Amino acid sequence: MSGEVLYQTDLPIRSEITETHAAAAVHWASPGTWWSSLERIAIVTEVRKAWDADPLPPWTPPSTVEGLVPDDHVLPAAVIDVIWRLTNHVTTLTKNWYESYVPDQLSPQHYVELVGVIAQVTLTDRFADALRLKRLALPEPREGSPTQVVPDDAEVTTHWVPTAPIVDGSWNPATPSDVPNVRKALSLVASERMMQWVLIDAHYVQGGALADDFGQDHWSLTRSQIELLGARTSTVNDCFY
Amino acid sequence: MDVVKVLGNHDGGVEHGALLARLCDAVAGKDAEVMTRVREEVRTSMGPSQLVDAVGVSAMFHMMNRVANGTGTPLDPFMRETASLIAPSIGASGFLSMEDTPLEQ
Repeated sequence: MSGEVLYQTDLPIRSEITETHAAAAVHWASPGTWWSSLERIAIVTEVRKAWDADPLPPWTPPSTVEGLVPDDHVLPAAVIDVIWRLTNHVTTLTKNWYESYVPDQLSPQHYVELVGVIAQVTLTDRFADALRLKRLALPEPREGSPTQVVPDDAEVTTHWVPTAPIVDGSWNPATPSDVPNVRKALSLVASERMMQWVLIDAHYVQGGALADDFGQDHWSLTRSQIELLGARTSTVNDCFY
Repeated sequence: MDVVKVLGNHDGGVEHGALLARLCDAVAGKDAEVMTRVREEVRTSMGPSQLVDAVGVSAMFHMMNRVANGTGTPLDPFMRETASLIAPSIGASGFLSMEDTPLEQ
C-alpha cells in the first residue's frame, strides 16, 4: 500500500512507516491469539474513544460512568476499563492495578494481547493526529478463530506478565538470548511482540544497531535528536524504563 | 539533561533540542492549536522529513511506554549502573513506574 493511499498528505512519509502502519491495520482486523477480529477492532475503536473523550480521573473506570459504555458492548467492562487507563493514564500503572484485573478478570494472555494492540494504535494515532492526517481506517474483520498458541517455557520471571525466552541475534550476535526487556515484554503473545518489533524498526533504530552507533544519523535525524525525542516522550509518560 | 526534564530555550547540546522537546509535549497533549503551532515550527526550522521522522520517533515511544509501564518491564542489566546517575537529572526518580520496576532481579 503506498503512502499516498494510506495517508493523504504532501508530507514525505517514508515507505517503512506507511508499510508498517498498513500492516498494523490488517493485524488489528485479523483474528488474534486470544481475541477475535471483531473484539480486536472493538479494542481499536475503544482506544480512540478513550483518547477523544472528556478526561476522567484515573481512579474512575469508564464502566462506572452512567451512559458511557453501552450495555451491549462487545468487550467486557473490565477490558474497557483497562483500555481507558492504559490509553489516558499511562503514568499511573502499578503492579497492584495490574493484579486487580489479572488473572481474576483477564487471563495474562488476553491482557498481553490487549496491551499490544492498545500500544500499537496509540503509535499510529499519535502519528496521524500530530501530522493532521486522517487516522488509519480499519479493514473489514477477517475470518478465523484465535490461535490460542502459548509459547514454550512462558513464566513470570522479570516482568509482571509471563514472558517467554527469545533468541534474536540481531540485537547482539554474541548473546542472542539477551534481548532487551521491553522487546521481551509481549513475548507471551508472539504475534503482538512481532508487530511491536516491526514498528520499532520502522520508526526508531533497528534492533541490531541500537547500542553501537550513537554518532550516526538515522533517517533524517541525528542519533542525539532521536534519543532526546525518546527521553522527553518517556518523561512525559513517566516511563522509567 | 534540562532539555529532557523541563521545557525551555536550551537545546541541551542537541540541534533544535528545545523545539523537539516541545514537539514531544504537543504530540502527547490534546491541544490542536499547540500542535499546529509546533508542527509548523518544526517543518520550517528543520524540514518536512525531519518533522515526519521526529513525530514518528515520539509516537513510537508512546507505544513503548505503554508496553513497558503496562507489563512492569524492569530495566535491563546494562542500564542499571547508569540509571541511578541519570534518573535524578531527568526527573525520573519520582516516576511511579520506578517503584514497580525493580532495579535488582
